[in-house]
Amino acid sequence: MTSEAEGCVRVAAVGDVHLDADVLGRYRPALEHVGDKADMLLLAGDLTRHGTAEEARCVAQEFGGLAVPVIAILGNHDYHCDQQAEVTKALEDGGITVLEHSGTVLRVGDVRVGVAGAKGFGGGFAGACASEFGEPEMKAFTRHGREAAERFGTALAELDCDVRIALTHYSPVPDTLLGEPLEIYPFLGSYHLAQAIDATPGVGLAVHGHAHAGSERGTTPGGVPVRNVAHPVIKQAYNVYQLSSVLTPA
Amino acid sequence: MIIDQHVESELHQLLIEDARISEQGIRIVRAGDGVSLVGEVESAERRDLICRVVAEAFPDLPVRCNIGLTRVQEPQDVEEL
Repeated sequence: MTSEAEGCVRVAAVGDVHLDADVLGRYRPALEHVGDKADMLLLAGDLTRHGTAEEARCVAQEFGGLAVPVIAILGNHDYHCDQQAEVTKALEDGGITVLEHSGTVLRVGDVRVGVAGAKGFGGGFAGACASEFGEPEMKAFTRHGREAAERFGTALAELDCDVRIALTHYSPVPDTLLGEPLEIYPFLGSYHLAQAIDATPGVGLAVHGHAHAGSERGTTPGGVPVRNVAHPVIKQAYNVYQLSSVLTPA
Repeated sequence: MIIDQHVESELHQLLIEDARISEQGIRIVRAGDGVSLVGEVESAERRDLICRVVAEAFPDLPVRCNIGLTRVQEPQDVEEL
């Protein structure tokens, strides 16, 4: 039965696939039937190892031409060689939509599904977060995370749709970092991202990657389900989430 | 070879900053007189290279490679939210 008949939306997602030529073809068998299982595939950043255009072409080859729309964001690895523009172009040439402080709306049956995406940044969480104080480097680190979250929040709010999905690389909550050393939480996510998600009504799912040793499930303070889909966390080609409750009239 | 915080930190930086590796998700666990590298990577070539590079950089350090390949099978279930 298709999701259109069921009146729900099925979202496939994976992050941190770190493609290069040595991984080509590994995911493809599992992706051949993604159209039977989901209405879209989200890629939650760290698609490459070093962020080269050549690696990005491997991503496009592996995740392009599928039966469902593929929507991606970049992660910190995808910035490593300062070729993020070339990486983005290679992905787009492969038919993948790449978001950064921007959004896209897909129609699934009668439902308009909006996806806003951004890499995000670190900064930490309540009680243990960076502040804009002291040295310029510290201020710049903190400010970058806050401004990235604000721009992401604007993209999320501007979507004209029935249900919203938040796609980031860095985590909006500490829940899904459980398993990572506490000391590195400020490098894994920021509470500003959760603030941005909670500021907009109708967000049915927040997806992120980055935290390889974290855990899958969490919730924003406002009650939005958060899922860490980093490949080493989900341990399969992709996970599928069905958005039902957020689409059910109260 | 004595494994202290300095050695552990050097190893950690090597795993991330050596361009042949660039892995942020490998844990270093002290095991007896050596270390165990624990985590998952996307290919057998990467796993073998990590252990080779670490052995080259720390020739006196016994290194056990407990790195697996992340599985890529199709999902069999759907989580309803």
